[in-house]
Amino acid sequence: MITLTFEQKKSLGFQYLLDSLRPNCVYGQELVKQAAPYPGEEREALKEELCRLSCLVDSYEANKNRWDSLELILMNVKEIRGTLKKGAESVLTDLELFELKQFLLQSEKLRRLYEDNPGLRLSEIVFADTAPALDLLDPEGRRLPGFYISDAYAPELKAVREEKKRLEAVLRWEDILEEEKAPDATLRQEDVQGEYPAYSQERRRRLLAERSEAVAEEERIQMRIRAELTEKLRPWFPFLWENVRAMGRLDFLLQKTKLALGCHGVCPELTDHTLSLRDMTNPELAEGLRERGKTFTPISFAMDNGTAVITGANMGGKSVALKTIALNVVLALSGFFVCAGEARIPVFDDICLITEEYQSPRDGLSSFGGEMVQLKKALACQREGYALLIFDELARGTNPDEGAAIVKAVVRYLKERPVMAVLATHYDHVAQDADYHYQAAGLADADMERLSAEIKSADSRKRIDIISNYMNYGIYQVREREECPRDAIRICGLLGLEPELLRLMEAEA
Amino acid sequence: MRPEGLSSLLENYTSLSLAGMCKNAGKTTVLNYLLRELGQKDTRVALTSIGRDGETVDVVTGTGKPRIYVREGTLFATAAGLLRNCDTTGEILKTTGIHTPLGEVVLVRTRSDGFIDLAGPSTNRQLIELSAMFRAYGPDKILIDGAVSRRSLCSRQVAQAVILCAGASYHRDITRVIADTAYICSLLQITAEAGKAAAFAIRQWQGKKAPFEKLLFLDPEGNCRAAGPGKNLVDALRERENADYPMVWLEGAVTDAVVRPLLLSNIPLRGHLFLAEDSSKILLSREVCEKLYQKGARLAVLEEIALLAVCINPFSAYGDHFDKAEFRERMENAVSLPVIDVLEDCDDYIDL
Repeated sequence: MITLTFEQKKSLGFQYLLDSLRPNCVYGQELVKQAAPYPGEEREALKEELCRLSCLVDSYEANKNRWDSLELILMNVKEIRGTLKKGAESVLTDLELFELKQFLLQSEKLRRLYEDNPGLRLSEIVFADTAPALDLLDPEGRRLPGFYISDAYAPELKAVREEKKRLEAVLRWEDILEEEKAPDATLRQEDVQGEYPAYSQERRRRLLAERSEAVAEEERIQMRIRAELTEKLRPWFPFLWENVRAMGRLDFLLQKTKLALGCHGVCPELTDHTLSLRDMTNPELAEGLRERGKTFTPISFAMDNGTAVITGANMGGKSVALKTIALNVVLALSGFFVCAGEARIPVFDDICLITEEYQSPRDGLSSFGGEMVQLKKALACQREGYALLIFDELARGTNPDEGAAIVKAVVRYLKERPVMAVLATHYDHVAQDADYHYQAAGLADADMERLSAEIKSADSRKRIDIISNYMNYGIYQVREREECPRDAIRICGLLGLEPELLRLMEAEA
Repeated sequence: MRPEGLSSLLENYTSLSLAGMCKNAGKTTVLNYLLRELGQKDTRVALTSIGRDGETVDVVTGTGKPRIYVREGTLFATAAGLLRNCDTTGEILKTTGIHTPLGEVVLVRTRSDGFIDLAGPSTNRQLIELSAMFRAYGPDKILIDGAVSRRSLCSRQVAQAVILCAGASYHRDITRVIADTAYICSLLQITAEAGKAAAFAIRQWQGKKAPFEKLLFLDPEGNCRAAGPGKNLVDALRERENADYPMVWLEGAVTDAVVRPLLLSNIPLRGHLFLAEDSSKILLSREVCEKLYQKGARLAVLEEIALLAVCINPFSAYGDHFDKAEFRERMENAVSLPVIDVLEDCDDYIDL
C-alpha cells in the first residue's frame, strides 16, 4: 500500500496536476481528492483502468461534442448519497424526494446518451436503467424537474385537495365581501356554496378552522404516500449507488483524459522489474521555468533492480531529476498517463521518498537524526515488498567523510536486492559501487568562453541567473568510470571568488 | 388613505422590498394586504425574505405575529427547514445552492392557497442571485420581506421600489419615531442629479480604477479627475486642481467618519454635490447630514429607489402604544408620502 502525504504529493508536483483537473460532479471530485497509487495486489485493476483511459484518449477527439454534452449533464448532478443513506432507514421528505427525482432525471439523460453512442462506451462503466424509479416519482410521466405529491398518487388526496380548494375559494370570496367590492373575474359564483349576505368575522374564523382540518387530512395522506413511495424506491437504491459510482469514475476518467491530451502524455507499460522513462517532464516545474522564460530539459532514465546514483554539482538539477522520476512513477501507478515520450514502469508495492522537505524539526530530531529514522523505515518497507526508494542527498547533514561512508554503505547494502533505489548525491565516488550511474550534465557541454565573457560584463547579482541559463539540467548515463566534472569549483570561479582561493581549491581537489 | 391603492402604487415597478424601522412595524400585515390585492388582480407574485420572518410568535419579543397567506400559483423561496411550516400544497421547483442556518433555500410554487413561512438569503448578493432565478419563472412582481434595520435592502440592485414600515415599537417617544422615520425617508428619496454624462464617467472610472481609490471629481459634462489611491476627502478637496469640479463621487459607504472631518474643516462646501451609488450606501447620522446641508452641500445618488409609502403601526410590542390619529397625522405632516396605518387600513384580515 503506497501512502503519500499531502506534502509529498505537493512536492512531487502530483498535487499540482490533481488541482488542474476540473471534475464536474461531487463524485468525480471525490475520486480526484482520493487519487493515489493502486496497491500492488490490485495490479489487474490498474491495468484495466489504464486500458480504459487509453481507449478514451484515443477516441476522445472523435466524440468531443458528445463528451461535452455528457459533461454538461454531470454538472447538474447533485450529491444524493446522504438522501440514499437516510432513505434506507426512514421516510424521505418532499425535498429529498425532489432531489432523488433530479438525480434520476439526470441519470436517465446520461444513460441514454452513453448507451445510444457506442463510441462513448467504456468497459466496466455501465449505468443501470432506473426509469421505473423515475416513473414512481413522476406518475404523470411529464419528466419536468419540479416535484410534489401529485393527485395521481391517491384518489382520497385529490378529494381532500378539492375540499381545501373550495374552502380557499370561499375565503377569497370573503375577502371581497369584506371590502364590499364586486366579485372579480377569477372567482365564479358556483365556487361559493350557500348565501353570503355580508362579511362576518365569525364565519371567516370557522372557514379557516375547516381549512386547517383539510390541511391536516391532506398532510396525513401525504405522509402515507411518502412512506409508500420510499418503500417502493428502496429496492432501486443499489442501482442508484451503482450509478453514483459510475458517474464518479466516468467524470474522473474524462478529466484524466483531458490531462493526458493536454500534456501529451503516454500510456505507461506495466513491467515486472524494468523502469524506463524517456523524455520525462514535470509539468509544475516546467511551468515555473516557463514563467521565468526558460524551458524544462526532458529527462531520460532507465534501470532494472538495484541501485542508481545520480551525481552532479549543486545547482545541477539532481533533485529535479529525482522528483520527475518519482512523479511519473506515481502517475502511472495511480492510473494516469505519464508525462514522458515512452514509459515502462514496474508495479511497486511501496514508494519511499527521503528528501529534505520531509524532515521536520517537529519530531524533535536533528535533520540527520530524522533522516536516519526515515532510512530505517525505508529499509523496512523494502523487506516487506517490492519498493522504489528515492533518497535526495542522504546524510548531507553530517561530516562529509562519514556522510560518504553512510551513502556508500546504503548503496552496497541495496545492491542486488529486489528493490529499486535511486540516490542523488554529490559524494561522487560512491557511484563506483552502484549498478547504474547517472550524471547531471551541468556545465559539462557549456560554451565556457562565451559564459565567462558574458559573466564578466554582468552585474554580480545577475551572475547566478546567467550560470543557470548555461546549465544543462538533463542527466546522462555514465557508462565507464570517468572523471566527474568539478562544476562546484568552476561555479565558484564564475561567481568571481578570489583567484588565490580558487587555486587552493583546485590543489585540494 | 385606504390602502386599496397600495398595489396600484406598485404598478410601474417589478420588484419591491419592505423595509422596517424596527420589529413589529407591521411589515407582514402590509405584505399580506399587498398579496391579497395583487392576487385579486391575478398578478403572479414571487416572494422571499432577507433572513428569517413569518413566524407566528416573534422570536425576539414574544408578541403574536400574523403569518403570510399566499394564493395558488405564487412562487416563494424559503429555507428547507421551514417547508414543513408551510401548509400550502407546494411543488418544489429548484434548490438554489444558497445555504442558511435553516437549510438550503428552495424555490417552491404553491398549488393551493395557504400559509407560508419565509427565511430567505441573508446577503444582498444572494438576494440578487435569487431574483435572477425567480425571473426564469416569469413572475410579474418580486416582493422581498425585509428583516429589522436592513438598510442594505433599500439597495437599487435588490429592488426598484421600497415601502418603509415604522411603528411604536421603535421608540417610546412619538416625536423621535417620526423624526427618525422622516429622516430615513429623506435619504431614500435622494434623487439622481448627476446627469448622464457624469454617471457614464463614473462607471468608466470604476472599470479601471485601482484598489483603494475612493474619490472622483466630476463636472456635469462628464469631465473628471481621480483623486488617487488612499487620498482622504478633506485633502483632496483642498487641492487646487480639484476646485473646478463641483461633484464628488464617493466610492463605497458614506459614513459619519467620512463626512465629519469635512464639517470640521474650513473648506467652503456651498454648491458641492456628493454622489453615492444608492441611498443604501448613505449611512450618515441625522445630525451630520443636516450639518452638511446647512453648509450648502447636497447629496445625490446614481441609482434612485422609489419610496412608495410609509406604513405605521401605533401598537407597540413593548406596551407603549401611540394614539393612532395623532401618529398618522404627525407622520403625514412629516413625510410627503402616502401614510398607511396597518391596523386600521390593512386590518388583520387573516385572523389568528
